Amino acid sequence: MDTFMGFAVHMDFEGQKLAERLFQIIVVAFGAVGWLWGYYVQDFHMTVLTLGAGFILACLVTLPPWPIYRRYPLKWAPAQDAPSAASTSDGTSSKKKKK
Amino acid sequence: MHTLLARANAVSAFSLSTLAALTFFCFASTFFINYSAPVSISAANIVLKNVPEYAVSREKNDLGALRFDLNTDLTPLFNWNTKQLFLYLTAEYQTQNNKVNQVVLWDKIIQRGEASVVKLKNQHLKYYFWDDGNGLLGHKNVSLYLSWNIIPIAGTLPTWSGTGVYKLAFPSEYTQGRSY
Repeated sequence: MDTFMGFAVHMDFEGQKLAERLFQIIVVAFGAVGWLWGYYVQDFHMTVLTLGAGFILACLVTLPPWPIYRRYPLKWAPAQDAPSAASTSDGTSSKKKKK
Repeated sequence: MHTLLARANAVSAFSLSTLAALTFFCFASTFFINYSAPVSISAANIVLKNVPEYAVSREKNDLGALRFDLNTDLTPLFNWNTKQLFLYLTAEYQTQNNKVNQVVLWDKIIQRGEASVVKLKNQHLKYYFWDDGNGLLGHKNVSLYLSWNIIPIAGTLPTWSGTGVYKLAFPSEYTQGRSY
């Protein structure tokens, strides 16, 4: 399990996909609105600030591993007994199994 | 994307790419704007001397001096992609030595947010009006005009000139003594 300063930060695969899509939507939406707002008031500073707000919101929404990103845990196959050492005669196949 | 740092990296990189795109669109939205503006210039106290320019040689060259009035409103030049303006007053004339002489006599920087209406009365020149010879004596067709270099937030640095030229006439005799 991946941790950051003692906290688990893992997301499952579906959660990662959702997180990436979410921050793309948030950043682009704030950027587009900020561009229009900056054009309206003729001040590019406003555009940068709006994009910065979008960045902070995207960080809050997608950086912590909220429960919404952990709804599809991987279903692992049940553990099987390790094959006995005598049954593996080929060296290369045993190496592959170790991986 | 599976760790916090990987996600932080992805969000930062994507935000910076978005900022770069927005900056480019900002530049594109101002690229075709006409940055010319009307300017009214007039000059007075025109003095012409013939003195050695020791920085170059011991030969005597023409040195002009004058006071000028300048009125222009540059507020329309400040859009969301204008960071500052560099104004400069040029004297342009033709002599036997050179087809085009251009001497910058005065300049000024206007930053975004500063007063963008220029109203000067009886202003001294900032730089010496040297000719590289004796071309100013009796010259009746010296053009004074104001140009500006637009320093943008992003994009090209266009140079524009104001519409409005003052025709300057120098006396046919050198001024003696300390008259200015």
